[in-house]
Amino acid sequence: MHKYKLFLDFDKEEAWLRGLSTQGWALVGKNGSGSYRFARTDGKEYLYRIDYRTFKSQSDYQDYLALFDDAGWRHVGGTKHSGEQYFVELGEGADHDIFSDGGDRTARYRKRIRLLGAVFLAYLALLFSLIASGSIDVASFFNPATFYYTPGLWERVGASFWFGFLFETPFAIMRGYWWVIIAAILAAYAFYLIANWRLAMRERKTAGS
Amino acid sequence: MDIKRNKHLPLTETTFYTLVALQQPAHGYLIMQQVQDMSSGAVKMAAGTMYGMLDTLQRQGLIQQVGSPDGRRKTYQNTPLGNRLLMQDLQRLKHMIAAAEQGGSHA
Repeated sequence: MHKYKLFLDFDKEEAWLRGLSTQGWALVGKNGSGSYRFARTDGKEYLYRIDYRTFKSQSDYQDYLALFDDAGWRHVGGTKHSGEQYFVELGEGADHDIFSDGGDRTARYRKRIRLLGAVFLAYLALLFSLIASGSIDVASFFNPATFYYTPGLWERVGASFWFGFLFETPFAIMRGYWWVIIAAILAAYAFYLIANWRLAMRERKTAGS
Repeated sequence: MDIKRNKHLPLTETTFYTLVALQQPAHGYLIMQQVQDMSSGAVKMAAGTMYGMLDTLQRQGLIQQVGSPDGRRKTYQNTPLGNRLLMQDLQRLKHMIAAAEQGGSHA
């Protein structure tokens, strides 16, 4: 079974996975685009914990997985570069958590913010350099007529106008508004960063008390 | 006694025990067990916290990777800087204990 879902809150994500395990679905993998893969089980309740970490080398990653394995946590999702690392508790004995210091729970969000923040800044730099180089005509944003190149289009009337206008509209949009896609990606990242930041603040309050 | 102040000092309880353990080479899970034993079970480090600490101490130059006997688990050991900080903190703690045992009479 595949499920597609986007979580911001690690606690909610862990609880969701745990809930699915009681319905007989155990996590067996997750790919980068947010698709979770599940396999049928007997409905035994599994405890999941999510860490956030990326690795420079494969050997560092193996060392990390070996440590969790030794401590009773099997890795069931994530790759060297995925950030999110999914672990399931193998048996009793572990203290039901992968963190013994509350600060590490907050650090998960901080690390995600750093990683996503770098992507956000790269897109922002791209947008500004495109504006600076004149590739994006911001001034004409509210004057779409300038993106229609057909000679004499605006003097035409009736069917002739409508045919020419509708025919060129897709091209005009690509010409004048293609960069809105970059702006939309930036907005999505901004939303994601703010949400993560709020979660980090909430977690820090809990850990600090 | 004058103790040179260092940004890493005083060490936290978990860092202190980790550096005590890593006077000899050890891999992550072995360190977790040693820390728990040394503290008589009072300090239990979970896997994620342990790995985070190893990562941080490496970046601070207090420990280093010294090998990978089974090709999977890496062994870590204190750097000279790590050992020096441990000794400095040990002196600080001894001083505190001595002061407390003298009942704060500044004898």
